[in-house]
Amino acid sequence: MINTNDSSTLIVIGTGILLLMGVGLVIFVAYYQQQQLRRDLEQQKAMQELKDEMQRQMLESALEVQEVERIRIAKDLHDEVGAMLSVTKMSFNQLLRKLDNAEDLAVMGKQTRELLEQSIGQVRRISKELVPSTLEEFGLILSIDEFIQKVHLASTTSFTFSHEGISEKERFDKKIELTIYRLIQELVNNALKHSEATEITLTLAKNNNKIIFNFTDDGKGFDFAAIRNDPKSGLGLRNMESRLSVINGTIEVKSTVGQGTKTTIEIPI
Amino acid sequence: MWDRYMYLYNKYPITATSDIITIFPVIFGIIYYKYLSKELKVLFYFSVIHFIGDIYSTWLSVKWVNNLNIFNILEIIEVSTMCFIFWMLAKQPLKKNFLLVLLITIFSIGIFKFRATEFAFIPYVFNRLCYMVLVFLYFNTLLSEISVKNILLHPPFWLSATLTIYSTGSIIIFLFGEQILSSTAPHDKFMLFYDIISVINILFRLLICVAFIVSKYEKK
Repeated sequence: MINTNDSSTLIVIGTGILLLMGVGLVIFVAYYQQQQLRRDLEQQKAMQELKDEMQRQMLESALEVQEVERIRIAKDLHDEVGAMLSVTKMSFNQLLRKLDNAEDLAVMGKQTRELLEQSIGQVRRISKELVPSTLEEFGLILSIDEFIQKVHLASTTSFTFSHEGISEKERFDKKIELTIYRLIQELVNNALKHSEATEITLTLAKNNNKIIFNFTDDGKGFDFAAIRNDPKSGLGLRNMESRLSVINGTIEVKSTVGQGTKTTIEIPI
Repeated sequence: MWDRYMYLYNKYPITATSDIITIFPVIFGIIYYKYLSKELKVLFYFSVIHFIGDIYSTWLSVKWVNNLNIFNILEIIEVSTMCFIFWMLAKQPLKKNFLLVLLITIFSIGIFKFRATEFAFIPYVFNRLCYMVLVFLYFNTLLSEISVKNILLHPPFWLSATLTIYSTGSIIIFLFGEQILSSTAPHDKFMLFYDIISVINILFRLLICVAFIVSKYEKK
């Protein structure tokens, strides 16, 4: 039994209570601070996610604007510049017929007509390259095929393209198709321009809910880390990453100097 | 002299243990010195001074000389050091100024109410109140600025925890010190409360060691 008259007992009890309160305060502060920190981190994470989403949307808008602008330029080239050149060619043909007797002028006229024909051809080509109309009309597989054939004609590099689990007429989301097409353009361009590749292999596969695209070349390869961190030379790679981020895709590049490059792209569908 | 010391040790084992444990913060301070922040280095130097003071007071007690003046001096050094450490930790000018005023006030109380042959209870009580104020101010800072990732690896938190336990565990005892810890108090009461104070002192030293140890992990 505690004798309440005993001042010592009261002091001991008082000290005990105060000590417990002190310990309780310390535990409370530690617990509360951790809770506060957790809340703060969650808020920061949510803010970051929001920021990332905004960035992604901005990038998506920028890419859309870019595509719209390409279509406009292609249309202007084809419909206006192309048409003007065709009319000029017809008019020039008439002029040539009237100059049949003047032999010197006729030779010059023929040369000028050839130049005009070349110009018309160039305008058509640029217009077609700006907007992959095959992609819009016939889908990914045929447009890749067409693109490869065209590049193959203009270079000595051999191409192998195969697709697994994707039929020729299968269609995907417009953004996904356009992204893959643009990435292939960029990869092929890089391989021809920088790697001195003699053989390029492209495989496109559908696996579960993913499109897996592999691009392999036997070129001279490169130091991936160095290129990645170089603001000038890493631009193409960063552009590809930006394009992929819009559709939640990933890119993995494995390259060794002298041993070619393998690029794997995965896109959820 | 050794016999005399062993006699005192057997008679007052908790107090003697508390004196021996004074060396722990010095040892841990040396081991973890390179990880200590400026504030913790000040705490380490204080621990060294306290250790030397304790050796001297033990030596005086062995020689049957009153050593309470040493305790009272160490108490003034202790409170000044703690105020200075928390002054270093404070970032806001208002808090810094407040802590400076607190230090001067508490130091003045210690000097004016100094007693050479008895425990200076009034300064002791004020010192503990001062520790509570320091701790509340620091806890307020910790909770308002969420700048510490893992509070359990944050040395000033352990120093604050130490001071909380140290002050709450001894303030009431010193408040009634004239009745229970003065030379006129009954021996059994004196021993009971002096032992409690010694246990609190042991906790104080051990928790300072924790503050030194976690410095390494916070730095990492």
